[in-house]
Amino acid sequence: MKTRKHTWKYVAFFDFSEVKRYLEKKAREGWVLEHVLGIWWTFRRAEPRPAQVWVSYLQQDVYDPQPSQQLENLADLGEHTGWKLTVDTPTMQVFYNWETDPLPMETDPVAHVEGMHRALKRSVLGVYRGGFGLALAALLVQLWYWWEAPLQFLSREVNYFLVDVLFVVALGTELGAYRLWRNRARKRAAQGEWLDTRPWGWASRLVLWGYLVLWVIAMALPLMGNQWVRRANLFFLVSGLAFVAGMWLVVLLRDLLRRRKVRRGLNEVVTAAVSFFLVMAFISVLAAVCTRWNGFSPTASDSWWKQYPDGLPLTVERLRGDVGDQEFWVHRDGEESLVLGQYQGWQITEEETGPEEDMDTVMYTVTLVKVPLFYDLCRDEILWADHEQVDPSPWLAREVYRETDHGRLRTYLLCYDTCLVQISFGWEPTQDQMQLVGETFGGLQ
Amino acid sequence: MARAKFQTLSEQMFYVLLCLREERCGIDILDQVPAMTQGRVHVGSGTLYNLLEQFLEAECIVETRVEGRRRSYLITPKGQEMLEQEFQRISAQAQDYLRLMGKEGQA
Repeated sequence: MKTRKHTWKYVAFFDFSEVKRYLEKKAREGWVLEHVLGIWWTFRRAEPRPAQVWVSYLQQDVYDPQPSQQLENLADLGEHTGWKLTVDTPTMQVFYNWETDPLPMETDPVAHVEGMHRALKRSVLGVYRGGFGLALAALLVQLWYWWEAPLQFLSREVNYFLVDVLFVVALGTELGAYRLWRNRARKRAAQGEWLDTRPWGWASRLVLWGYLVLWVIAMALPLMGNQWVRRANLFFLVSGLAFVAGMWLVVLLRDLLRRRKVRRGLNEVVTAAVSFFLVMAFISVLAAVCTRWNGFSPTASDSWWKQYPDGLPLTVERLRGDVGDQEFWVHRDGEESLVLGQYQGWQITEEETGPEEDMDTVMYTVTLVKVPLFYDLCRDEILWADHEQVDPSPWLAREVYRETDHGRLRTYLLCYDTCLVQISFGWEPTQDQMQLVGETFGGLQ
Repeated sequence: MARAKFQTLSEQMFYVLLCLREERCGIDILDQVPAMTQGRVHVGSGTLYNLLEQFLEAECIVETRVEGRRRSYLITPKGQEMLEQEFQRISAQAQDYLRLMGKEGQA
């Protein structure tokens, strides 16, 4: 017969009613809590019988095997009325009472709500508030970036932004749920009534599950993109999971040493050494994989540029024919996210020309709009202050705009169904050249 | 509406402070409150722990002695004043009750 069993259970940090209900049910089934590590609960077999359970949230040292003086005081008081401290973790302590009709641990709802808030403020509430503040600050920075440079934001930062939004919502929901519960519980307590935490805890759990599902979708969606995007996202997903697993391993080790009553100093040294080793291993693997896959460069051989194995999709040679023995500076680059891709290709002549002479130079930025909602935003963002609309038919485009204050370059914005092309020529393009540009970019996916 | 902290005392706060007119440890208080109320009022261990922490922070009581894990406490003048105010409040309530009930009785 199994004498121990383990289970995963997530409970909101303040949801003592759910912990009490769950553990009392388990006691009736013959299982007594032995240990909790985050969401990993361990039970040991016992005689099935009713029990009363009570939970406290006193902050304990994560390394020290000895309980704090506060917990000792509480445990002594509890023992006097039949409540036995059964599980002691750094953030939560569980008391069992096996008497049939014991005096409850809490007899005054006002003292309970205030005492719980004091304890939570010293432990998890600070961590949650800190995390929420940081995530919110990151979100504001990203929103500012969106406002200042929407195209760069949409093509580079939008994936991180979505993850951050989800993080803020998840943390904010739990903090908000606790605040709502506490406000109402204080009012009820003034009338001598108790307030169950479960409805608020349930709402937090629901949002957390939603968060996890959306996070997995947000990670999975880009896996359907171009190969280099797919690789990069897979890499981020796997490295994120590896990081979480490493952290879990460190916490597990620290907790194990604490439970084995290993001295505080020794526990600190071992935990620090293992953390250092794991961080080094993690960084080494990251560096090796990045090197192997060329830093997930958009110019890698398996990127969007793969369609153009000879280099750029449109070159001066293709447009103008023979260009003699000129030297060119050729460059290509790009960024791609869930909603937008931006790829730049430049071919710039190194030959010096006079101010009125043509240059054998062509430069373009192809903006792939994956979400039609952003099409107009992208077009308006690219459009210059001085521009005029010109006939789109030679370019095989929906709309075409020309920059009127062009300097030495003739610059156009070509609007195709799924992409926008900003293209600059060092000469005035002919009808045939316009058609060639349209044939090259018009059918892009 | 939630009341301001210690503006009025709950029954258990009142009796815990009352116990601490004499130096007592937590376990003594757990036994003393039911004894002084003929079993009418009991204070749970968790409640007592929370109250002692809150009273210490508000300087209504002081820790007087530590013997091993046993800690003893005593009420301060501030705590005494709170107790007195609560007594006055309860007395006023009782007098109002008697006065009103007395008038009703005469009618």
